[in-house]
Amino acid sequence: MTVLWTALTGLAFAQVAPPSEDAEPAPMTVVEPTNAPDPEEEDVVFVTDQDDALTEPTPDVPDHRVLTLGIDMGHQYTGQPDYALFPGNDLMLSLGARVQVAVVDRLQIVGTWQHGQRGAQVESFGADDPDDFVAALFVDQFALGPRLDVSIYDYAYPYVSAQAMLWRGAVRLDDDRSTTANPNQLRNAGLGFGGLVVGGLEIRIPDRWLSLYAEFGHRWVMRTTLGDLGTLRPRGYVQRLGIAVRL
Amino acid sequence: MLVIPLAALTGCSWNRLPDGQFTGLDGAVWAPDEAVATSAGLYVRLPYAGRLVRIAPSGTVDEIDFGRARVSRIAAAPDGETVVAFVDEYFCAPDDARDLRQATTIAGCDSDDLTVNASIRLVRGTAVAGVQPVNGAYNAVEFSVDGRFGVAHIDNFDDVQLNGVVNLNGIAVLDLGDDTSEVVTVGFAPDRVLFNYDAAGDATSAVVLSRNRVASVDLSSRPYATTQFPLTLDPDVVREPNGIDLTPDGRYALISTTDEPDLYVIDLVDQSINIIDLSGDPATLQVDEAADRTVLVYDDQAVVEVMEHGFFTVDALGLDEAMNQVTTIDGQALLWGNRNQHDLYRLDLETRELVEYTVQNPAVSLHVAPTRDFAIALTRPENGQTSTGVDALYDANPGMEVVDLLGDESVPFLLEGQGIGVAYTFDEANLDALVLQQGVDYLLSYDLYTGQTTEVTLSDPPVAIGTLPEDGRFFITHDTPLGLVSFYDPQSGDLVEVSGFGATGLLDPIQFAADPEVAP
Repeated sequence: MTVLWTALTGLAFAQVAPPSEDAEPAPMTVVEPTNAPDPEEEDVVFVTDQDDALTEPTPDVPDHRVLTLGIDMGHQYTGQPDYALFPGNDLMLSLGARVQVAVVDRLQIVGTWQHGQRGAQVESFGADDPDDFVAALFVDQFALGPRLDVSIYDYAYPYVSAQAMLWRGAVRLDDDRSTTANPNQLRNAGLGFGGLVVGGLEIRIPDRWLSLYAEFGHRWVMRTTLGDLGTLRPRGYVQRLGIAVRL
Repeated sequence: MLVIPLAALTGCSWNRLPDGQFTGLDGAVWAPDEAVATSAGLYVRLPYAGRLVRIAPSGTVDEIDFGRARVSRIAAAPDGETVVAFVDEYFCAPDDARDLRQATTIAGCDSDDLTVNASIRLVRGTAVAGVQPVNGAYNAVEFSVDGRFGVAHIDNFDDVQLNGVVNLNGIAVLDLGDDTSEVVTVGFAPDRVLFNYDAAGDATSAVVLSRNRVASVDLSSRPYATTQFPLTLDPDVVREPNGIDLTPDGRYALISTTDEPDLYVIDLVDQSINIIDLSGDPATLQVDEAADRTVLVYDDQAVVEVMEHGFFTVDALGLDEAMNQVTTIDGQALLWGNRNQHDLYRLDLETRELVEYTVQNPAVSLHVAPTRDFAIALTRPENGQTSTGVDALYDANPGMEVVDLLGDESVPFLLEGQGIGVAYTFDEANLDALVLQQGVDYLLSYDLYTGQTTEVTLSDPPVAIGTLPEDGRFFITHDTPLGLVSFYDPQSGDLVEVSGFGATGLLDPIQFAADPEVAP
C-alpha cells in the first residue's frame, strides 16, 4: 500500500503539458455597442462575435482536461482448477492504477496496471505424515488500449475499452517458514499475453477535476508456463471501482 | 515513475508471504519412501502431479515423459538399469453435455463415465520404452533375477482399482526381452511369485502361490504352459498359503499354510505333493542355499525346526523364546523376533550349534553386514514400568544392538531417534554402518572395527537410505514437503543435496489422457 500511495502521489503532481504553440487562437472581435455606457464611465469590455447580439447564449467551452490519473480496487475471477494451490472463493483482490490520455473528443488511450496476490497453507493428504507448505501467487497485469465514451448531461460517461494485456505471474513456495535458508524456497515466474474488454460508467464531479468509475469486463490470457511448476491460464471476469483526478 | 510499480513486482519477502487460506491436496507431493535407485540415478514418484522424475547424483533433475498418463507405482528391475512404471490413462465421456463442465478433474467425472487404461512401461535413463497393457487391478510386479521376465499380480487387495471385468485368477507374464505380455490363469487371488533358474542363471519357470493352489508356469513355452497343484481336494476347505520357498535345485516348492501344521512339498518335476507334519503353523520359513536346509520358526512355540531336502526329515531345537523372523547367511540362520522378544539366536545349520544373544529392547529390524561378521538390530522403546536404573533408561529410548556374528557378544547403544534404516560401506580395512534415525537431522556413521562414531549433518530428518548400483554412493530421502534428496559419498565425505523437485507439475497435475467429450 505504501508503494501504491507513493506512486499515486508522484503521478498527482505531474504537470499538464502547455497548449501547442502552433495552435491558432480563437478569433475575438471587440465591438462597442450603440447603447453601451460611456467608456469613460465604465471600464467594461464586452467580448462577442460581431454577428451576434449580447443576448445570444454563450457556446460550450471545450474540456481541455486531457490527462486522467486513477486508482482502483477490484476482483478477478480465479475459479479454474489451475488455481487449486491458491484458494480464495474463486476471486483475487486486485489494486491498480491507470493513466488515461485524451486523443480526440470521446476517444482516449488508457494504460492500466493491476496487482494481485494470494496465498495459502497447503497440506498434502494421503501421505503417512502430512506436511504443509506455503504457496503464494503474485500477479501483475499491464494493459493498454483505446477507450470510447459518450456524455450524458456532462456528468455520466458510459464507456467501453479494449486493451492488449501483458500478464506476469510469480509463484513462491516455501516448506519451512522457520528459516529463510531452507533449500525449498522456490520461485518461478512467467509472462503471458492476452486481452481485456471492459465496459463501465464514469461519474464526473462538478468542475470536472474528480471522477468516479466502475467497470466490469472479461480478460483472456494465453496459457503461461511458470517453470517446472506447470502452467496457468488466467481468464474470467474482472470488476473494478476507482477514483480519478483529471488534469 | 516506472520504478515504483516495477519495485512492487518483486513481491514480498520470504518472511511475509501471503498465507491466509488453507487447502489440501489429494495425494502426497512426493513419495520419499518409494524412491528407486538404478545406475542412472534415483527415480522419485510425484503422486499428486502423477509424474516421475529422475535425480542424478550430479544434481540434475529430469522429468520422465509419459505423455498424459499418471504414474501410480514404480519398481526396480533386478538388472539395475530398468524401472518399471505402472501408469494409468483416464478418459471421461459423459452422456450429457452439461456434465462436461464438471469434468475438469478426475474427481469431477462420474464413475460411470470414467475409463481407465492401465499399462506397464519400462524406463531406462530418461527414455520410456516397452508399453505393456495390463489390467489396472494389478498393483505389483515380481522380476526374475536375470531381468528377463516379470509377473504382474495383485499384491494388496485393499488398494485395487477396479475398471471393467477383472480376472482374479490370472497373472500377467511380461517378457521384457521381446516386449510381450500374456495373461495366464493360475488360481484364485495369486499373491506370491518365485522363479526357478537353470545352471546358466536364466529363469525357466515361475511358481505362483494362490488360494488352495500352487501353479508352475513354464517360461520357455509359448503360450505359457501351466501346471497346477491343488492344496486341497475339498472345495469347502480353504488353504491360505502364507510362506513359500524353493529348494536350491529348483525341484521342490515348500509351502506353509495359515492355521495348519502342514508343510506342502511339491515336486515340480514329478508333479507330486508330499505333506510334512510340523510343530505348528510356522511364522516364517526360509531356505538356506549354502546349507541346503529349510529353517522354520513359530509365533507361539519356543522352537526352531531345520529340515533337510533329501528325505525332508525335521530336527527341532528348543529356544528360550519363540522367534518369528529368520535371516539366513551362508549356512547360518539368525533367529529374531519383532514383537517383545529379548533374545536373538545364531544357528549353524550344519552343526546345529546355537548361540544366544540378549538384546536390551525388542528389535524392529535386523541388518547384516555384507562382510557377514556383524549385524545391527534396531530396537524400540518398551514399556518398562517396573524397570529401574540403567534398565529403565534403555526401556525408555530407542537403540541399536551391534551383534558380533563371529562371537557371542552384542553391544547395546542408545539412539536419539528411532532407527529407521542402516546401510554399510566397507573395504578391506574398514566397515562402517550408516544409521538413520527418525526426526534426527544427522547420519550416524559407526565404525564396526574401531567403534568410532561420526555424525554427518543433514539439512532435514531422513526417511530412507539406499545405495546407488555400481556407484558406491548412498542416497538419503528426507521428510520435506517439496522434495529433498542427499547423495553421500563415504569415501570423500561429500554430501550433495537436491531439492525442489517435488514442485514439478504442481500447478497442473495430469488428469485426463484426452479432453473429456460427450460419449457417442
